[in-house]
Amino acid sequence: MALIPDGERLVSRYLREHAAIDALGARVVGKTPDSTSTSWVRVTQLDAGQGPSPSDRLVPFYFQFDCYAGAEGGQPEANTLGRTIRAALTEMSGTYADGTVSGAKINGDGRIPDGDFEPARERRVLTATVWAHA
Amino acid sequence: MGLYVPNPNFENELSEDGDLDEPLVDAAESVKGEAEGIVHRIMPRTATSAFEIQTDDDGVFLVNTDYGGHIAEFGSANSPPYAPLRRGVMAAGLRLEEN
Repeated sequence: MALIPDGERLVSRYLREHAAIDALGARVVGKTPDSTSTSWVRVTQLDAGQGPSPSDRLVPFYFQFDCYAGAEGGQPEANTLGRTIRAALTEMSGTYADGTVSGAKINGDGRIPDGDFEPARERRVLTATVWAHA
Repeated sequence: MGLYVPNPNFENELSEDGDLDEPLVDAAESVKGEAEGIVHRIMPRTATSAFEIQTDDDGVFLVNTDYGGHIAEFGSANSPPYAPLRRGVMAAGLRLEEN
């Protein structure tokens, strides 16, 4: 029996270890961190339906990436973080400890500030499909 | 022998004649059913479904009418993105295109 890769772990680990994201000091997390004073990216897998192959080998993982600015960074920081995540995803093809990625496609890239903060916190919401197999 | 030339305006012409409304409403009903199984309601506006199918001259729309519908779809710091509309489209077997 073959398991599909853990998509969130595969992508999150890749982003955490990416030099450009590390240089921004952004955290890559699965849920909102306790401290929201500095920037972060929340990775959520929305879907992972079966691809065209009946073997369920190459899986299209559908992700949302919430790219939040820190308390002082505002729109420029959220935009830079979102664009950096986008660039990192598009060059993600390769083999990693958690699986092999054959490609990624950006599906959406919008500015959706989060009104749970006062004032609303700047956020870029990226959605992307990442095709991966074990 | 004639050469078949596809009409690039075929879909627009069908839409203008209203011939697309019925199949689009059928598709919206399918997505609505899937979305109702996914949704985590936030600030409900009604006690019944969060979703309404709305039709006007611009097309057929499936709308989350809850006051917190945007949070259910895209999430916030205090809520993950449940994404009932986007996941509903995929669960209904349709192709999702975001723009």
